[in-house]
Amino acid sequence: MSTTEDKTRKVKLVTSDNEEFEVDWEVATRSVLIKHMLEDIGESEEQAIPLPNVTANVLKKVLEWCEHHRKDPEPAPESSDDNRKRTLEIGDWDAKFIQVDQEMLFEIILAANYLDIKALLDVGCKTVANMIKGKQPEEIRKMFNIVNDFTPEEEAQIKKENEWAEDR
Amino acid sequence: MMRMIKPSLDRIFNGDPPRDEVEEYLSAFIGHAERTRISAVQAREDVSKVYFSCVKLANLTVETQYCYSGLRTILNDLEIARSKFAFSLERIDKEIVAVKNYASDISVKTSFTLLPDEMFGIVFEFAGHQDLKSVVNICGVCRRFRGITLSIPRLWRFISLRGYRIEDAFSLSQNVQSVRRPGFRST
Repeated sequence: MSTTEDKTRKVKLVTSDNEEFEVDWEVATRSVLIKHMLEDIGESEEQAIPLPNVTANVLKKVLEWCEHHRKDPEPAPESSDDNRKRTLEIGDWDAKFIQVDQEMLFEIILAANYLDIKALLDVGCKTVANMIKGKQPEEIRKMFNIVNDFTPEEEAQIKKENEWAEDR
Repeated sequence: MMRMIKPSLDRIFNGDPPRDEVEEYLSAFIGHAERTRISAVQAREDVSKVYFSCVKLANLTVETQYCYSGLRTILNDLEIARSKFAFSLERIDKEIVAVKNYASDISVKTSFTLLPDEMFGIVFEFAGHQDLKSVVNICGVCRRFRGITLSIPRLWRFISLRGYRIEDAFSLSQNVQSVRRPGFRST
């Protein structure tokens, strides 16, 4: 589908709050979801693509990322989860890009998941991972307002299990 | 000398510059220049300059002149106000950041758990990559997190043990039952 004609093609996207964005094909198709939708619509149509799960301010941010990464090589289609790099390292530009408030961070993660932009999803998830890494369960609960729903017996067993890790 | 020109300037500002009056002052000026041994030519040039700049100024109406002084006052006031506002703005900016963070914090606290398990899975895999301590900590947060971590075998692939823990692990691995009840009861 990636013909030379596609490079100059513009794509219209409409957000949940009815804002229209016109972007280069190359930028929009960083999203696998949009890419598939465009393939379904066919090249002749000038139809705007509705994105009912994304608001304008989040899409703006996502497109900023897509624009910067427009030339990135496409990830291998069948890169299994096993091969996915698990390092917590984030590139300089991405690190700066993701310096947003937590609300936006989660919006970006949700949008990247919905739009199927794996590399962006990874950037967001790594950022959250960095937030919880090395934290005690109580600290994590406090950070995200999570209720401890274990029974005292379960709690005791967890404590026992934890002894394994304490030695590390 | 300037005292002589001054009334003429007032006239100029108040209407057409009377040419003969200017000429009169001009000759008076030249006389003065001669007496004080200033070059007459130079003096004439100087006076002409004054005259023509007066003509230019005369194009401004009296209202404009008043306006100008009024504007200077306003400008001065605005400059004072600006510095006061700058200070307030700084405080407002700080306030915005604080409120934004607070709102974001509340939003995260109320919506964080809405993230699908799949995404928590990705986060946990990053956080717990070859870091059993973090995996165990996440596992101990709540039932949901425990269920998610236990459903990802990759997380439990790297377990480093030392000393008597190796023996413990070996004997525990014989006790299949305890290994087979990882998630407590499902929620």
